[in-house]
Amino acid sequence: MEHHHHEKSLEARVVTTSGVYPETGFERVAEQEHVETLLKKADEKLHITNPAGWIAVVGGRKIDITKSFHQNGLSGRIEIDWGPDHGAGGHA
Amino acid sequence: MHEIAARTLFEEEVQKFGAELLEARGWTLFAKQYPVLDVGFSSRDGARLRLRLLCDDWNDRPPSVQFHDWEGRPLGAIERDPSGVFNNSPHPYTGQPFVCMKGVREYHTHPSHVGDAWQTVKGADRFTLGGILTQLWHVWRSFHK
Repeated sequence: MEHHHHEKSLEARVVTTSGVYPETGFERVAEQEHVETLLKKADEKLHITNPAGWIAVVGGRKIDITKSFHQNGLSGRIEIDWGPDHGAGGHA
Repeated sequence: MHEIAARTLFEEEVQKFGAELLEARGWTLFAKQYPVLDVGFSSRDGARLRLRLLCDDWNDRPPSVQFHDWEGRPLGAIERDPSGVFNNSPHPYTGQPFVCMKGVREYHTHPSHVGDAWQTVKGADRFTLGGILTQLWHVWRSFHK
């Protein structure tokens, strides 16, 4: 029996205060792709130069951008909130 | 900074706050007319907070942040978060609760932090108006999911 292997994909978009990537709709990406690959595309398109210390949140849950969408348990259609983590208090 | 330059930079930044962002984060944009950026945070637990950022001389000076209730009245007391960013004690200059976080005017003008100059972080992605608001939103979200 012939077996067709289809790489699983999902639809994603990145939401930031500098704009949204892609500009309209969602981008189809492989579930095995690392999240940071998509974020780098967003950074370039949205002219984000230094996202050090930023966090990615999906559905209220912080995800590990060095891992794949699959490893983060993500599938279907997702929205990644990308931005700086909370600032530290000054203890004034 | 010249007022026209400050206004232009302010408008460039806030015009990027699109509907997708506001919906995804539960933000309400009450006003975005220079020099005032007035944003409300809503959470699923029903909590709400409104922050009024006074951005005069942006970005030579960091924004001054005031806590308001949903109707726009200044708050005389706030919930203090565990990290100490939302500080309920009176600021030495304003006498009001204040945001004690790098990137906010009340932090940089506080006697405890005057050596921590805004100029050293000004312009970084974390310290755009959106970056500062995002940091404050994450602080608030740490106790309002």
